[in-house]
Amino acid sequence: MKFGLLSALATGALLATAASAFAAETYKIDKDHAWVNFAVNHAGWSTAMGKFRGVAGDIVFDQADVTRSSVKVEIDATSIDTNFTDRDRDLNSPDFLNTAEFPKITFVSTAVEKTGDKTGKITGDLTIIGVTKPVTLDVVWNAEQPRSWDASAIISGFSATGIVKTAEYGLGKVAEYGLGPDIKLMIEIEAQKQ
Amino acid sequence: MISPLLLHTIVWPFGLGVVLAMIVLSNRPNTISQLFIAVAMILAIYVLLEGVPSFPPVAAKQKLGFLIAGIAVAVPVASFLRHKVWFVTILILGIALAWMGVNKLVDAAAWPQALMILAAIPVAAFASRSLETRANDVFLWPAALLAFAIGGSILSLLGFFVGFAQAMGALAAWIGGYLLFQFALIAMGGKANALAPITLQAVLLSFVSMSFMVALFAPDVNLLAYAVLSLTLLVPHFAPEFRDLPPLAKPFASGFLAAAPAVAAILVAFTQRGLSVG
Repeated sequence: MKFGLLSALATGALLATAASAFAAETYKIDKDHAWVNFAVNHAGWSTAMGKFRGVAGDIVFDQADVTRSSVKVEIDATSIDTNFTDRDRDLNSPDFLNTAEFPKITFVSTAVEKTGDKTGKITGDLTIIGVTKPVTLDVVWNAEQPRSWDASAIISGFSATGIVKTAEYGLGKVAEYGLGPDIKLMIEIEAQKQ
Repeated sequence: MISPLLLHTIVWPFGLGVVLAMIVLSNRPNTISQLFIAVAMILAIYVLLEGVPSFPPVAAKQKLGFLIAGIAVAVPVASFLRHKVWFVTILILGIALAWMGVNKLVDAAAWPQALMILAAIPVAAFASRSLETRANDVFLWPAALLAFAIGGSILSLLGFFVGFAQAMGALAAWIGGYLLFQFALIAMGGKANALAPITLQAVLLSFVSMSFMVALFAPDVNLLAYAVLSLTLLVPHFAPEFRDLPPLAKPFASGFLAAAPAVAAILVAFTQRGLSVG
């Protein structure tokens, strides 16, 4: 009797694990439908906007248990675009993104928390200019559906926002030049199920 | 009210330069102490502008702070061991370029750029031979370093690296404060003392190491202009002694001579930038 109960529990646990494993799907970020935008206070005059064009990465998304999901993103730091080429060159310098030494910005999730039906928080390690600090993003899962012209291509869409504290990364020039000091991230990502 | 940016870039460095001139005038510290004071001032300027570098340093501009501190130790040690000045210059600047540039130089695409920058090292080594022979000229070497710093600052600005336009500008303000005090002293009939050759060597190595940051990392740096700028360092070697000139005219003669390669470098950068933009 005791053996039978243990056996049933073990089988149940194994099935549950297998079900979860199957529920986790891998998605590849669509670089043409990925917008990593940012906004930063510009000396109190306005909120300056910009974006990164080169975004790549993978999402492991478990719809049944989102805490088992994960995200890994790599951004080409040189792809920064603030609508003014000279300023973009300046932002590539060691005063800011130091792209000659650190051409990539990376984000690797460390924890995912469910906060609502379609909302959650993703905490992860954000590495900028060789410095890694934890950052938390508020995420909304917008939808998942096939492309209207290609039923085999399943697309999931996410929106995320977060704050990067530049002082934590040693980006002292940001505040010195009257910017920020914090940078607001506004991310829109479409990813295709693999 | 002066903004912190101007205070850190011009006012404080200029004041430190005046203090250095007063210390040199007092003739109190021995040459090693004078070297330490001068390099400590350069480090103070660096920290004012860039903050205290993290340890271990990750980025080149953090490594620079440790390099400058290392120069303050390496130069006296090399002098004690009686190593040739040109050899020490090549060794220290070689280490500086390799260590600061390593993150960039792992990419073979950056090697041609590195070769252009590398050319500044033999120029500085050759120039350093005149540190002893022309050290008695109060204005000659400082004027060359002033021109080098101003030129480096403008090249950095044109290359979209504002932070090191500030840093090189602050070095110019520092050596400018030193020169202005010395000139005022002579104008009032006083007798100025020159920096010790070993101090000049440490200052030269610090200035050139700082300029490597511009040459390596300014996003749109003009390396031809940088190569021309490095010729500024040769001026003390080839400059005449201006024996026939009155004492108050000598600093101007040294200054104009030193400014020539720096102005040429700026013109090269401006011209090529104009061509690339237009």
